[in-house]
Amino acid sequence: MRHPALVCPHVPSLLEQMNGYDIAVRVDRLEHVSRAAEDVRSAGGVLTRVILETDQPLSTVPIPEDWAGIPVALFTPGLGTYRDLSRQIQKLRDLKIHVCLPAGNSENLVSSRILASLGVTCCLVFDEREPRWAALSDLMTYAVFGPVPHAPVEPFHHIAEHYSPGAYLDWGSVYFDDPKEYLHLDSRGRAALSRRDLLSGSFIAEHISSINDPLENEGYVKGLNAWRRLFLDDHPCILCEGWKICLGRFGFNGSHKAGCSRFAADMLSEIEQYQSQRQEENPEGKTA
Amino acid sequence: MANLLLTTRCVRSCPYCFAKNEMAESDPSDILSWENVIYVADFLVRSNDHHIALLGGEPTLHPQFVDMTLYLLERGFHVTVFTSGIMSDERLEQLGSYLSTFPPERIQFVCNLNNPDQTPAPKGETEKVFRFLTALGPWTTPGFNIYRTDFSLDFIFDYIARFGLQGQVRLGLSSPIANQDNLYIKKEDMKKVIDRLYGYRNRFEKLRARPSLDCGFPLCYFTDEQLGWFYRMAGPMNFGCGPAIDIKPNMDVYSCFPLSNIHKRSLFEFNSIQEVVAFYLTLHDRIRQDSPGVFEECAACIFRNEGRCAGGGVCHSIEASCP
Amino acid sequence: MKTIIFKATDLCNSNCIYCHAVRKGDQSIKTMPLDILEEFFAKANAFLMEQPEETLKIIWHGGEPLMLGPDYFRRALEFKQTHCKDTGSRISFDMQSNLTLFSREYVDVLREMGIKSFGTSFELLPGIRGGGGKEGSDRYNRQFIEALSLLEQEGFSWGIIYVVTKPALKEPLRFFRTLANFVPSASVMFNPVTFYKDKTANVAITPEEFVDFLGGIFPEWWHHRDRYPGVDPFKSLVENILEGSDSLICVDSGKCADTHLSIGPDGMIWQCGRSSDWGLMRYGSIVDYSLSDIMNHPEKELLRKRTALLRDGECGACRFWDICHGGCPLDALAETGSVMHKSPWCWTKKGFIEKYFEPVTGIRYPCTHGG
Repeated sequence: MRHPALVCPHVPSLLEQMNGYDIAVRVDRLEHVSRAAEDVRSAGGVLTRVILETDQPLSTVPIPEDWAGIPVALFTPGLGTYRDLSRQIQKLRDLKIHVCLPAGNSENLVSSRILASLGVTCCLVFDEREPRWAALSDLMTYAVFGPVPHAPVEPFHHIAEHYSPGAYLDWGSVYFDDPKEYLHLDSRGRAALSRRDLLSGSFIAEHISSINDPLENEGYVKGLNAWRRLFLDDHPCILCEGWKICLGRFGFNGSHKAGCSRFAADMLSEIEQYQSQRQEENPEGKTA
Repeated sequence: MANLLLTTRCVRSCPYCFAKNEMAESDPSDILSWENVIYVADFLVRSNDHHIALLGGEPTLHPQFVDMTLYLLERGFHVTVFTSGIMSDERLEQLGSYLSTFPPERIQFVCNLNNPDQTPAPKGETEKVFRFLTALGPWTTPGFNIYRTDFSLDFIFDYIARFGLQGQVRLGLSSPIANQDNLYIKKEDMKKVIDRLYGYRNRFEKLRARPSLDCGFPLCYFTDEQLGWFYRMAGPMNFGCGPAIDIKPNMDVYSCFPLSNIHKRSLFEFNSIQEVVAFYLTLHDRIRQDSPGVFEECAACIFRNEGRCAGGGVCHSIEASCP
Repeated sequence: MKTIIFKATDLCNSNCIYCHAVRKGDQSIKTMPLDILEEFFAKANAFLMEQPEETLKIIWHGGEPLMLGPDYFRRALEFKQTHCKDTGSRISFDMQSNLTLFSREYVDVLREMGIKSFGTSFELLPGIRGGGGKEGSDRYNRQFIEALSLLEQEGFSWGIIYVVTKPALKEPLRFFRTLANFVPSASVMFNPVTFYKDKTANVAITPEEFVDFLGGIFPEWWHHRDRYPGVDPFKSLVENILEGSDSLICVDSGKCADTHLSIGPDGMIWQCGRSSDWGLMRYGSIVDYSLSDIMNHPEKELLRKRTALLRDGECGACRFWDICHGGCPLDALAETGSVMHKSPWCWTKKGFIEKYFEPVTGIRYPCTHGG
């Protein structure tokens, strides 16, 4: 299998060991973005994304011009005021910045729609807060069926494009949370399956160099199939109509939420409708 | 162009208000949501219509008026804002900071002005209007609604000169609201209104200000001399009647304020603004079959039959047909 | 194509409540000796040499075939290569396994055998599959799930046969949703549990109960059939009824005499897997007979006559004949003492179509549009 990309902290001594890997480098300060990108590239890594986490609302983040050519995923708690953000829209668009917003804050559901309609790709991050399912459903419909071209709203865009009735779909990769696509390293090079595991100190290898073929790592293999254990526990999620495109992401750890099942089922129906329409419009699957 | 109501709340209580009906019925919390702004923007883009008018109530009362206006500008719309000019200092400052960075070709205000002597305003309101005009005069066209035959326009010319307003005066004829009481110009008084308007020609000429007539003026009440003068000042005149498409914050849609309490539909029922217009054109035609125009002579009028005059607004036709 | 249910071992690491193979009682030979295995491939070659258009599909079955160990399969491959030099390309392998013993050691040899997909089973109810009791079921399911992970990583696909037992009847939708969610390809087949004589009372079901079980699922499946494309018997039925497919599983084909055989660990040849498990319709040893001899066995002739007899007799007036053919002869034998009758289970097809398929879909069988 293709080796997953590595999500690394911006530690130059660590990055120097990552020659040849696909790297998403994580920074927490705006002014480190360009340097981090340069460090990855000069160490021989293939930069897939610079992940910037900030506590500031997007409207107050002064996006510099020197991010040109750097793929940035910007995790921010919210949009701030549109009037302040408006001056940065062109830059967000031109620099192809992915704006990642917590879905648990209802305002961000609106913000995502605003950004997408203006051509800025955004991504909803599901955390421990329960989203407003009805509003989320509304946004999902916009993301999938919006009649006027707009930028992707993730994870809906990813799901709509990749869902297949014959397979499960794990969309965690849109925010670096899918061990098939990303492993997370700490500053010592220890590898974890997810950001959550990294923060809780749950590692699958003491150093990434020990993982040549991830499939030979027991922890990795177990992690890949963690969702399957829900079937052993007779978890409510395994009965959900929307399981194929959720895999328990909303209801994991026993915290099955009342609205998520309806939402996931609606989402699946809409995506089926979307794909069916697309098939009718383009029966040979030709791309533009 | 569609008219989008950001809120149905208003800061004034004008005696002629043709939006009174909508304002009275509305829930004070009835303000436009972001989802609906985006929906309308998409709807208009899909209709290949890139001009939008923002109305109220008083649209600047919407807490996110500036944000939404900036959004629509970013989406490529030419935005016209119909305002009383009465707003908080904070809001005015926002307008000055954010919106005045766009040229008047992208954003324009139509400030509906009342004559301070004939339509007295509560204390402090006129000062607020002045502050608005001071800040945004070059982006602003004065608007004036005629609801009495002894109206005076002198103050408007003063404002144009004093605040550097755009050289166009938008003149509306106050219209009857179906099944409601409001002050408006009765059909038998229209001639007087036109003559009085024409009486201001020297003032218009002196300022090179263009009179811009809103809907509802009947062609036959203008003399050839008056028509010639209006043409010379403002170019070809339109004596038609809408339908102007108004969209409420809840996405209800109707064909202009005076008809707001009949034949209301939802924008969600239509696929394009052209469909909405076609729907209301058909409706207007049906209304006019029973009552062709303001006057009895409208039925046989050659100008009406040739489509050069609508025979006054359809709102007048409804009023005429009401018992 | 001839399908050979290849029961090279009766040993199993599980003790499923409905399994006949593990309840056959003492047998002297539990696993096929290598000399018999070799004999089989020699006979397979002779048969294919005689029949140049024919192919053989060998389904490794059991017992649990993975009890044989990877070396056994390597030997099988060697025998095939040795004895079937010119006919080997007409022999293919499949496997029905509980997968709990699947490990990396099997990967290369199974791949070399051309196996791409596995038939398997999964059960949420405790005490049905596994080593017995809830604990046994849990342990079994854990092993099963771990094996699935490995299987998928190695690029194999798999599908589920779900055996419907009495405890499952209460919540058909629960089982459908769980299994459809569990299997990525939604390749799931619902089969009724069947018994010969010893009807284990707490799990046995009647044809009527099976029909109602399917009927509890069908409306949801029909509504979402694009989402769950591989669910049987619905998928096959739709293909038969709407698309005019004449592909039928063995019990409905009316042709099993010509298509199926089974071989046991001792080299004994039976009509099919079920006949082997039930001890019915034994044709003789692979050591003594050629496959051609077996295909011409008098009992096979009887089965061939059965189809004509039923068509002109018991089943003559049945509008479902073309998709049923009187059902499984072994079921008929078990119930009536003779294969020359229709199966009591053939009613499931008629009952399901009339009670559920036709009302839900609004389509009457047979379709008049010509498929």
